[in-house]
Parts: sequence; C-alpha cells; structure tokens
Amino acid sequence: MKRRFTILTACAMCAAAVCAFAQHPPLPAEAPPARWDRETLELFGALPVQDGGRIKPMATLAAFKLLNLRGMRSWRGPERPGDNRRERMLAGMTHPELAPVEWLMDTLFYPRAAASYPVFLVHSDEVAEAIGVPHQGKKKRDRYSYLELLPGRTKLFQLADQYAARSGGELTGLQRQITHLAHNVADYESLLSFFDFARETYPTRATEGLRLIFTEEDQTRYSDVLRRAPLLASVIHTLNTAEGGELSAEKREAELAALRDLLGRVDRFGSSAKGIALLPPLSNGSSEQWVSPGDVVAEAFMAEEPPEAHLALAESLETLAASVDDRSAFKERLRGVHGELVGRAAERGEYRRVPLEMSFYRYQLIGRSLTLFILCFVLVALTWLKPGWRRLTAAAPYALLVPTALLAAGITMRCIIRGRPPVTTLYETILFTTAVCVALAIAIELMNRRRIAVSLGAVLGVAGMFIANRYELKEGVDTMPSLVAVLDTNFWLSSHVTTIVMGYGAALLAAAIGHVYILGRVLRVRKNDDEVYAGIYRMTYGVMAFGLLFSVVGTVLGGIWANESWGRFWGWDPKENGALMIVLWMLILFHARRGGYIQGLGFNMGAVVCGMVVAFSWWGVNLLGVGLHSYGFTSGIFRVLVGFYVLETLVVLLGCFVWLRDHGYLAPAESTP
Amino acid sequence: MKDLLRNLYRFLSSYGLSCVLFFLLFLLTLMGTLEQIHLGLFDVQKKYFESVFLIHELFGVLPIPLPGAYLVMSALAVNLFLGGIVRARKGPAHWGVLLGHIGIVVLLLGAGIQYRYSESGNLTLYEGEQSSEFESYYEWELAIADASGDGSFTEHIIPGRQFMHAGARTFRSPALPFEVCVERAFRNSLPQPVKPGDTPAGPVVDGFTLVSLPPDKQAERNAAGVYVTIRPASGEATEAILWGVSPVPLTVEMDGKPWVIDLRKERFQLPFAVALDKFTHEMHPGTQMPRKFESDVRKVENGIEQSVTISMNAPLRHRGYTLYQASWGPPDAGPGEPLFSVFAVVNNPADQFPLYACIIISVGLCVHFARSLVLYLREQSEGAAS
Repeated sequence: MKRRFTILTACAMCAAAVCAFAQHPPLPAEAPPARWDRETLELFGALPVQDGGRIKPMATLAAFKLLNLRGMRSWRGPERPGDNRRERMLAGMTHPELAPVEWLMDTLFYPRAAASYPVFLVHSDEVAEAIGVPHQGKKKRDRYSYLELLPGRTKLFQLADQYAARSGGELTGLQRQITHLAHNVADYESLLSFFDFARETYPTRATEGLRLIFTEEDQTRYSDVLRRAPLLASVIHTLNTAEGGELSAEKREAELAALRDLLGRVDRFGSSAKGIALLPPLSNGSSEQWVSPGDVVAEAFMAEEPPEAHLALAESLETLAASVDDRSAFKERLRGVHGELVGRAAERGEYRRVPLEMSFYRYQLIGRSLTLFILCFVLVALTWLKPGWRRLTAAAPYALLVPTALLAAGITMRCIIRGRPPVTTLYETILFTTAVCVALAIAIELMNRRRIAVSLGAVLGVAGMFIANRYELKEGVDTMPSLVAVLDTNFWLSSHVTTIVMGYGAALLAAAIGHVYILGRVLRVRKNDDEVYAGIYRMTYGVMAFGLLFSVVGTVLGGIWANESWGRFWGWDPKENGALMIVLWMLILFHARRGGYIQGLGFNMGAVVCGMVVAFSWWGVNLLGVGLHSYGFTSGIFRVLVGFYVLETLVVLLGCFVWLRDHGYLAPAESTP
Repeated sequence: MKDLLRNLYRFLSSYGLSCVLFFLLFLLTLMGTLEQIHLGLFDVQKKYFESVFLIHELFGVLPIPLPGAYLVMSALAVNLFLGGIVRARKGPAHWGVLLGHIGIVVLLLGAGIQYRYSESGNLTLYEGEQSSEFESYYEWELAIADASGDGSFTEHIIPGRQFMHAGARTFRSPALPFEVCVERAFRNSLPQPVKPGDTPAGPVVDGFTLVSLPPDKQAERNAAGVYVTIRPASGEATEAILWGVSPVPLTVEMDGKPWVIDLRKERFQLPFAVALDKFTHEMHPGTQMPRKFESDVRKVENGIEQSVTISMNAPLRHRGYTLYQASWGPPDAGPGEPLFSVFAVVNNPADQFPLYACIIISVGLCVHFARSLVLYLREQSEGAAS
C-alpha cells in the first residue's frame, strides 16, 4: 500500500515535468554538453543535502542514485564535444568519485541531453516486452535511456500500480523488476524536472491586476512570484469576496483566471522541484527537515512571514540554472550557492562530517583494499611457488597488513562520519567480519609461520571485499543509512553487535582452515608429515576457541540488550536462534573433541559445517522475513546461499571420503594424525 | 545397585550425553526457526521450545518424534551440573572452564525462574490516562462482577487456562448466585449472524453463531470466544456467546441484580500506578523511519508522584516490574490528536541473571583460552629454539 502511495505520489509530482516529454515525443535528443571542469564538479559534489534522514554531500547522493539506476557507481558518460579518448579515460580514472556528479549535473541542468543517456539497467528484455518498449538490438540484460523507455511509460506505471497492491512475496521476478523500474523512472523524472522551476518563466502582463502587482517585468521568476505570495493571496481573497465588487464580473473573472494560471504554473513547477532537499531549515523554526525549492511554495503561502532565506536561495538557484551555458559565470554562481549552503549548514552544526564523507569516497579505501588484497594473494601464491624465497615469505604477513590497515581506516572513517560504532548495517558486518578474519590470520601467521594463515587471510580478504562490493551493487542504496529507534544505542551496538560479528569472523576463518585440512588430506599433500596436519588442527582449534568466546559473550549480550529494549532476554526470534546455533555447534565440537569422539579430521569437518551455520545465522535468517530484526532483512541472495551450501556440503563429503579411506573402507588404512 | 548408580552418574555427566543434547537443541532451534515462516512465533515456541515431546513433520509429510527443548534443556542442566561442575577437574588449569560452566548454570537457572515465575503483558495508555493494571498478550480470563453497587465491586476471575483448552466445564462459587458453564471455547473466533437456510457448525444464540478461525500467526491478534450457560439455583438458564474483542460485556439479571460477565485478556495488578503525560515520536527528518519513541510518565505510589521518561533501550524498573516502550498509536493520528503509548510490562525475578551469567562466562572463557594461548606460544618458542 505504501509502495502504491509512493509511486502514485511520485507520478503526480513528476506529471508536470513529464508533460514536456510526453506531449512532444519524440523529442530531438540534445547532444551531450561540454565536459564540466573539475572545480565545478567538486563544488557541486560538496553541496550539502538532506537525504534518508541525514546530511550528506551531493556527490554521495549522485553516486547512490546512479548505482540504483545503472547498477554501477561510476560511469564515464557519453562522448562530449571536444572529448578525446584519453580525456575520457582520465576523467574516469583521475577522479572517479566525481563521475556520478557529472551525470547528475547533466541530468539537472541538461535534461534533454541526459534523457538519452542509457542509465536504466533492465535486467531482462521481458520487462521491455511487457511494457511495450522496442528492444531490438539490445542485449537480454541491457541499459536503456529515458527516451527509449518513454513509449512504455504509461504501461509501466499501470503495471507497477497493479503489483503494488500485492505483497513482495507474491510477486514474480518479472513483476518485481517492473516495480523497481517504475520506482527508478519516477525517481529519475524528479531529477530531470528539478530545475524546471528555474528554467520556466511566469508571464505577468495578462491582465491589469497582474501588471499592477508585477510592476516592472514582462515575465517574472518563481522566487519573485513567491515573494509576492501574501499580496497575491490577499488579491485573490478580495476578488472572491464582495470587496471585488468594484470590478465588473467579467473583469473579475479574467483577473481570477490569470491569477489561477500563474499560481497553477508555480504550483506545477514547484511540485516537480521536490526531488532534492538542499535548503537548510529556516533559522526561526525548530524543524530539522531540509526543504526543496518546491516546498517553498507551501512556506510562502502558509507561513506568517515570507521565508526570505529560502526565497534568496531559490533565487540563487534560478540564476545558477540560467547561466548554465556560460561555464565561468556558472562556476562563479555555484561558488556563491555553495558558500551560502555550506555556511548555513555549518551554522546548524550539520556540515562538519560532509568533507570527511567526500574524502571517504575520494580515497576509496574500501575499493583499494580489494585491489591490494588481490596483490597480496598473488604475493602469497609466489611464496608457495618459490618456497625458498624466504624474504618474500617473511614479508607476506606484513604486506597483508597494508590492505587490512586500509580497510580498518575505511571502517574508522565510517564510524566518525556516522558517529556510530563500526557495525550497524549488514554491509558493515561484511567489512568488519573481513577485517577480523584477516587480522586473525595475520596474527596466527606471525605466531606459526606456516604460510597457511596468511594465504587464507589473502583469500578471505579478497572474498570479503568482493562480497561487500557485490552487496553494495545489489542493494543500490546508501550504505550509511539512518538507524531505526531500537538501534539508537551506541553502547549495545558497540558491545553486542561488534562481539557477535567477531565471532562470525573467527568461525569463518576456522572454516577456511578446515577446508585446507580436508583438501590437503584428500589430495594427500605431505601425507607422511603428521606434524603439518596436527599444526593445522591446532590452528582450527585456536581460532574456533576465539570464536566461541566471542559468540557466547555476543549472544548473551544480545539477550541482555533484548531485555533492555523488548522486555525479554530470549524470544526465539530467528536472528537470536541463528546466534544460538553457532554457539551450540561450537560447543558440540569442543565437547566431542574433549570426549574423544572426534579428532583432527572430525574437528575440521565440524569447522566447515560451522561456516555453514554462520552463513545461515548471518544471511539465511534474513531471507525468512520474520522476526523482530526486520532492519536486517534482505532478499535476492537465495541462489548464492544455496550455491555456498552445495559447495560446502561437497567439502564435508570429501572429509567423509577421507575418513572412509583412513579406516580402510576404500583403500588400505593409513595413519591418521 | 551401586554399579547401576555409578553408571547412571557417568552417563548423566558424560561428554557423549552433552554432545547428543547440544545436537538435539541445535536441531530443535533450526526447525523452530524455519517453522516460523508458516507458524507464528507463539505456536512455534509452544511446540518446539516449551514442550517435552513433539512430532516434527519433515517436509510437511514425514512425522519424526523428538524430545522438546524443555526436556532437552532440563537434561542439559543435569548433565552440565554433574559433568561440568561436580565431575569436572578442579585444578587451576581448569578454573576457566569451571567458571564458564557455572555461568551457563546461572543462565539456565535464570531461564527456569523466568519460565516459572515471570509475568508479562502490556499496558496501553492514552495521554492523560492512568492505570495500575496490565494485561496478558495471549491468555484470557472470565471476569464476573455484581454491577448493582455504587461503582466499587468485587471481580470473580476464572483463568482462561481452566476452560480454553478443556471440554465443557462448570464453575461455581459461594459468592455467586449462579453457576457458569463454559460449553465450548475457541482460541480464535468470529461471531456471525445466522441467516435462514444456514446450517451453522455450532449452537445459535440470539441469531448468532461462533465461527472458529485458524490461529493467527501473531498470537496476540487471536480473538477468543466461548459459549457460556449461566444457571441460577432456580429459574431459567441463560445461554450466551462471549467474544474477547467485544467492547461491551454480557449483562444478566440474576436474583434481581445485574451481573456483568466479560471475556478479556488476563489482567495483572501493578504495585503502583502509571500515568502517561506525553508521548513523543520522531522520524528521521524527511523520512518515515522512526528515530525516537519516548513516553513521559508519572509513577504514582502511596500518593507520591515521580516523573520518569521511558524510551527504547531505557525502561522503567520499579519494585520488580519493568516497563518498556513497546509501541504507540494510532498510526494515522493527525497533528494535535491524542496518542497512546504501549508499554511491555514484565515481572521477572531473574531479570539480571543473564548479565551475571555473561560476566562469569566471559571471565571463565577468557581465563581458559588465554591460558591455552600462552601455552601454545611457549611451545612455539621452545620449538623454534630447539
């Protein structure tokens, strides 16, 4: 129902702007504008905006809008006048964090050109077929421009509206894709039409009354009309009452019609300028809500005093939009708007984290750590290929420290930006778990120098960062969202969540070591060297012990938190059960080992199963869609999870094979460590 | 005999039993988690976690008998006590493990006390309202009162567990001039008018019949209903339908006095009253995401008032009772319209046991694994030296 509302509202909001496209299709697509210079992009990217309940740089907003639409964070964009291949390459490579800003600026300031950019990722041509969009020459999964989708727009919204009445679970994959595309199109339209209020003019010479109100101009601007809102309201009131009786009925009707036309125009273009909240609240109010230029209409007509600060900002945006073709004047005016917005945000104490967030995305610590983890993996592979190269072997764990430090720095920057502990979202659990895995692996390597831990550290680092990247692409939303009320507690977030995620990390590392043990035994690597396998077994045991400590403490802390906020220690909620299952499985392994029921092979097989239990607790329960931990629900990972379980089951079966072989069921028995 | 006892002791304190019990609990937890997709949490809890035995239908078709978590955890407590504390080695090398086991015993003890002795429910207050009663989420009761007084009255309560899951039962009291016979009870039901030509499954009372509905996945949404017969010592009996969601109780005339009979959620008395002065809810600016729920309340006890703010993660604790911010409404209230706040109320004598257990377990495991790590490092360095 809510989704239905959102779509309908979005459609209504954008209706006026879309008329420009819908009434005159097919529009001659404008050529892409000249490339924006770097300073302009930086200034625009650094504008503070309120989105998702927090203040963030425009660059972040642009990046996640583009990610959601196009399925990619960055995009070099179309070829532009004067571009050459090298410049395009450089534009994409030297400041990749600005690529989405460039796209957003094109969309806002050159909507006719941007409408032909292929930014809509359509996952299947069945979607295009269903909404009646020609898809000849397109791949099955391809990107479409707004103009390409325009012929199917009406059908798209009709279908999305039908599906909105059903719950997510009842929709087929195709229907979900159609709904998602409709959301994206509505969102995109709100950007295309955002500056229409500034591009449009408002005629004021239609009647004598209007000429008296707008004394000097033939045409006026949005902000000028809103400045005169009290006067306009009073005139309308007068014309509608007996006081307007001095005028003939015909004249009065003509004046009213002209006023209705003018205000209707203001309302229409105001409605299409609500996509970005970039005006800080007025200083005389207690509201924390930033507003868009479209919201100023209501302020101007409803408030007792004219919202002068917002009117001035709207005027600045009008002059900015008007100077778009004169890039040096545009930059100068953008500098003015930037200074004004930053100044107001800073006054309210809301700007201090914006530059840090810009830096976070500029340095790309998380992305770069993936590259370095891959390099470390290559380095570690060399140590296996050339075991005699001792310096390389000695350097490997220190080399692995570099991407780990980058990752840790990225996590720390996120903590500072959000004013929160390191783990508050599913995305952050991936980052933190990876950091824990790799840090533990480095610590183990420094203790025993077997090259196994450092190798696994590199593999897990690459895997973790790859999953984080894929998850970010799949979700396509800001990874630093505002938190729901129950999570608004730094004490419990830093104690329970951090602890439990450390347990995940240790259990996954133990599972990885278990793989090495089993595969080594299957392939009979160093089959006569019992000491090697005993060493690996001790690693698994040690890491599992670390995991048990954090899993038990984390689970109990979670219960105490639940007692603090929901009034019960344990409620058998799926997420709680997942944590309990990890603890129980670890306890089974430790007690079975202590009782002599399992040894090296059994313990390592158990560790692999523990990895599967962690996957269930971490991701599996989120797919169930039930329970109190609704802020952690996710979807679309079922197939990945099933693939993981199949692979892990195969590894466990290989372990069974080794056991059968060791016990003489398949071949003559061999000694077992 | 002695051998038998020794063997029993060894069995009950064995690692093997620990492993089997942990595995059973693991299985039950997994099944209980997956089952929540189809059954509500309340029913899953009853079936898997508060039961002695159960039948799990594998893939919905293959029945598998299993011990319930109640039985498994009881056996685990015995195993833990005998194996992890009594039989365990007590030297300094084992203090960590011993402490860890003691911590788990404290945790299980807390869970047992909570299961047996805690009361829980909710208290809903509109701004300006005051109450010293809270009601259960799931349990029902029949309340009978003489309505002829001057406003003060004594209620006679029949707890729901005495009639909800039994057949027809008759209740008598010397204080009542009539007996109440609960003929049939439904956990979730809906009264429906009977039209000419209908063939209702149950009795028809005043043109209505009670239709049994499948239990709701959210058990607190179930609307119980009962058929009752009120029989005076002499005179004609009155048949009636009582429905838990009905805003008006049944009124009957007996011995010349009006009596009200109400089927309602079980109520508990607080040793103090709570008045809601103001409820505040905030969204993150520009979103529909809740940022803060907060209730400004007054705790009233023996005429003394104390102002307290209850919010998420900051409950009110007083005289063994804890009031948590749980919910609010109405969700569609406009500006200036009165709001209500819902508090979860819990009286759990073992409220802080998990905290004590957490501290003991943390210390125990830290001691044990730190010792193991030191030994390992020493061994490594000796190995390297040799």
